[in-house]
Amino acid sequence: MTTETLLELEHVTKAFKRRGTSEQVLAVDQVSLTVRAGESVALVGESGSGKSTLARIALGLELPDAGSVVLTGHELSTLRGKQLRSVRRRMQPIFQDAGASFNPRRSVRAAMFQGLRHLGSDDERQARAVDLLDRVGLRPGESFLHRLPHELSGGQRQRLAIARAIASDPVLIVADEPLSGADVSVRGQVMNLLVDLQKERGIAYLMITHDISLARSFADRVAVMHHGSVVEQGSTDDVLSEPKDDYTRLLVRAVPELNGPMPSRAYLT
Amino acid sequence: MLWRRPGRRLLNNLSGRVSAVYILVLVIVALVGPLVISKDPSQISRSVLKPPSPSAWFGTDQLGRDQLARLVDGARVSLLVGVVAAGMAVIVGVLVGAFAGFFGGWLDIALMRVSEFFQVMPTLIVAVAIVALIGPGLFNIILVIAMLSWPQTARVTRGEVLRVKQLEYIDVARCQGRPEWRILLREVIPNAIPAVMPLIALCVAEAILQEASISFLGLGSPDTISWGLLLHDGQQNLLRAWWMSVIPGVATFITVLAFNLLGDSVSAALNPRLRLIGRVRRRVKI
Repeated sequence: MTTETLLELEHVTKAFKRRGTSEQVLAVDQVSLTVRAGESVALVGESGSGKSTLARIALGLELPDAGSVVLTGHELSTLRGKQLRSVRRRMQPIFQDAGASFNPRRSVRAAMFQGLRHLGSDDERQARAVDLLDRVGLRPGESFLHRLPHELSGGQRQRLAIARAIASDPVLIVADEPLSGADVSVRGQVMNLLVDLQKERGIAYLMITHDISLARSFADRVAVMHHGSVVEQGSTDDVLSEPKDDYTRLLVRAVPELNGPMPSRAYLT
Repeated sequence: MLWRRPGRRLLNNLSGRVSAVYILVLVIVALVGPLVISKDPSQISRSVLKPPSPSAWFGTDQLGRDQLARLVDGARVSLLVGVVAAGMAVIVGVLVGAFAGFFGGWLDIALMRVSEFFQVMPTLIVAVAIVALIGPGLFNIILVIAMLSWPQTARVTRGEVLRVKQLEYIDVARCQGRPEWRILLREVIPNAIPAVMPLIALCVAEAILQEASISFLGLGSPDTISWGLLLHDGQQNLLRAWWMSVIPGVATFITVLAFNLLGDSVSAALNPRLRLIGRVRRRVKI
């Protein structure tokens, strides 16, 4: 199963117009990337390198100017209406700011039910929602159902976001900086939860992050983005231990290490 | 659930409380007043242009009709016009603004040009022209007022929709395979409505004033007693019977003021910064 390709981006290009001018800025330039079933791919790069734009294109939230996005054998740009919506449900996002990713007027129950529409009855949905909440560590699940998102802590909201994402049984989760909003103790727990869920359900991850050490501990493969293009990709060990590209080397060297030598001032440009 | 706290804060605010109470009293007077007051507002009598006295508290008009009975009866029409016209304007405005903001592109451009067209028209002149054209019925007046006041709501709604539609929970709903129109209806509009709430009361105030202006100019139906009609009659007897102008004038003024203050208080109660303070306070209490 691990060889099955879930998501395939081919020569994806996206340009934005700079405000007030006719100047075009290439946010994503000819990027090709694949995610196979059950694996975790980390997309690393500094802020503004185009990794979040690429994530939005992969999720089908933004259309590429050129290139193709193929999810489980379906090219997203050729799908319309119902078909597009059902293909999309196989891929779920987790965003950085869990606070903004919930409708403030909807209870936890309503948020969970949205992802559980494929189930037959409200009773089934309720039971599944409680199971999922328990699974992500919001215990007891019943006690959370009637709360509003802003009544939860940041860590609880991120767990809820994960529960909602796995509710529609996705094969792929695209996580855009899922941990950078959380404090250190929460990060470890959320990280472990994501890894456990992968083992249980065989979910593949496309993780967008600027955190090299996170990518090192989490990902099977790494792609490094710089100025809109992927400068290097391969297995995590290869890329991060023996980086071939100058930029990757700079990025890896910039990670502060305990006991290691102080990094020389390296400006990442 | 989210409404309870702003509601309470609205009543904690003095001008909010006073205006809400006044409007409530006015509505009760308009509903049950004509049943309590024994005099018929259209009954002509021989005691013409009598100043306020114990037998006729607010005096009588040029045909000897009781001004108190007419004022109470007119409150019904003024409130009805205000609420119905504002309601229609807000519904149209929210829908137009939401569609324009959410779908963008040529639809946005087209809808906003139409709303600007209605916005730049000199309200009173156009209202007078249209009423003169289609006739002075009550429903026609409501229609004209609604037609001229929806653009404001449309603009505010559009702005708010533009803000809400780029929030992440909208993206999440898309990824969950919700159709666009459902996202607009269930996720975007409910979260854009709070910005429109203060406008509703302001719209009512505006509509009451406009109805009064149209009737004052003599373009209202002469059979429908409204405050505008009372002012119209009063103006013709201004030097002989001050009470005919002053009393309905003051009533209109206070009512319009009350709706304006209510609108301001609603917007203060929904202010996100105040909401934060409310939340902190609540935590301290627990």
